[in-house]
Amino acid sequence: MREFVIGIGDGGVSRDADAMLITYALGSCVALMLHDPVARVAGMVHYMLPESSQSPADSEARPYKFADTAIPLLLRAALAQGADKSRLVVIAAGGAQIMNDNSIFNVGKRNCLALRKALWKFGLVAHAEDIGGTVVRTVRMEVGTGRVWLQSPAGKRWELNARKVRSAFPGEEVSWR
Amino acid sequence: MALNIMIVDDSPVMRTFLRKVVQLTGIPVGDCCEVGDGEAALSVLRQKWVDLVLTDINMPRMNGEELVRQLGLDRMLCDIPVVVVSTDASRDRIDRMIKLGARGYISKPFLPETLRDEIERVLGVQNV
Amino acid sequence: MSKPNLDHLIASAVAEVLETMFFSEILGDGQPDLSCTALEAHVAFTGNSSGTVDVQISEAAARSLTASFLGESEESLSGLQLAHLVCELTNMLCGCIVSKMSAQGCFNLTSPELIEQPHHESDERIEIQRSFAIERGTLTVSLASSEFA
Repeated sequence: MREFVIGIGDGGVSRDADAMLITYALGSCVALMLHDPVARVAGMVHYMLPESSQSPADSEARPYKFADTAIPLLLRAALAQGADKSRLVVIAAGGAQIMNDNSIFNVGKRNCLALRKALWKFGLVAHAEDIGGTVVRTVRMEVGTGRVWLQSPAGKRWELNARKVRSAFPGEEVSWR
Repeated sequence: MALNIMIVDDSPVMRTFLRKVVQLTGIPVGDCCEVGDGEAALSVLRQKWVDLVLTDINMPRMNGEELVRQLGLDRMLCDIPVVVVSTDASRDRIDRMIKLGARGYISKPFLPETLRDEIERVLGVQNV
Repeated sequence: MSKPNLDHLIASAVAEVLETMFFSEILGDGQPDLSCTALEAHVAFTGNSSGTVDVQISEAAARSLTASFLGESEESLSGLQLAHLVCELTNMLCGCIVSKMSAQGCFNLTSPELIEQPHHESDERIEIQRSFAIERGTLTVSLASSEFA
C-alpha cells in the first residue's frame, strides 16, 4: 500500500484506492479526515492553530496551518475530486493538552472548538472523533475504505469507527495493512 | 420516502439551529415547518401529516408539556413521535415528559450530534 | 449555597453553554461592558427556587457567537438575529444555572426579554454578578434568587 505523509500544517486529497494517508505526532494539532465511500475520495489535514486572523500573511502562504482556512480548503478539494457532501464521513483526532503547554490559552482545546465551528458552518459534525486528553497520536487512513487507525507513542493501536463519537480508550490491537 | 418534521420553539435562532441538526441526520426531509408555541403546533398538526415533532418546553400561550399532553389525548395524533429539547434537565421534568408520551429528551446545551443521534434513534434510522 | 459555590456554578454554566453550542470559551475574568452598544436580556425562573438571570454581552461578541451558532458569516447577520441570539443565550444560561442549583425539581422560565436600555447603576437586587472575557468582548451574568433571602 502506498503511503502519503501529510506534514504538520499541510493537507491533501487522494483518489488512489491503494493509498494510505498518514500524519504523525498530533499533539495539540488536529487531523481532520474526510471520506466519500462511493466516490472513494479521501482527504486529510493536519492543522496547528485555530484562527488565521492573527497571521494573515502566514495563512495565505500556508492555509492548511489554521483551522478556519484549512477546513474549507480541504472540503473544497474533496468536492473538486468528486466527493459529495451528503456522503462525507468526517473523522477527527488530536487536540491534546500537551504537558509543556503552559499557556493560559490551551491550544489543543481551542483547536477542537475551531474544528467544530468550521464544520458546523458547512452543516457538518464529526461522525467519530478521538480528541483531547494528553496522548500524542499518529493517524493512518485508508483512501479506499476510509478506515482510520490511531497509534500512541507507547505503541498501542486502535481503530476509530464512525458512529463511535468519542473513543476514550484504545480498543483491540489491530494490524496495520 | 421524505419525512415531515415540525420544530416548536419560541426562539427563531434555535429553530434555525434545530433545522440544521435535522439536516445532519441525512433523513430525507419533505416539509420542515416551524412554529413558536404549542397552540400553533396543534393547529398545524390537525391539518397536515407530520412524522416527528421537536419541541421546547418553556413557550408562551401553550408550553411543550401541555402540547405533549394534548397530543396524547388525540387518537389521530397520539402516535406522532416527539423529542423534547429543553433547558430543563431536571429528573422530575424528564420523567413527566416521558410519562406523557415523549419518545426522546435532550437538554440544552447539547452537541448537535447528540440531538442527531436521538432523532435517528427515535425514528429508527441511521445515517452512517 | 455560598457565594464561592455560586461563583463557580455560574462560571461552569457559562463555560458549558459557550463550548457546547457556540464553539467558544471563557478567556478569563472581565469587566461589564458599559458601552451603549452592549445587548442585555432578562429571564425569570420559578420552581424550587425563584429569581432572575440577566445577561449582558458586548455587541461584537454577540455577533461572533451568533455567526458560530447559525454557521453564517458575521457580515450577513441582522440586528434582529443578534437580539434573538442574546435572548436564547440568556434562556440557556438561566436553564443551565437553575439546573445546577437543583438537579431534581423542574422549573419554569419566562420568555427572555431584551432590555432596550441596559442600566449600569448598581442594583440592590443583584446577588451575584460575574463578568467573563470572551472572544471579541465581555459577557456578564447577574443572578438574583429567593435562595439568597
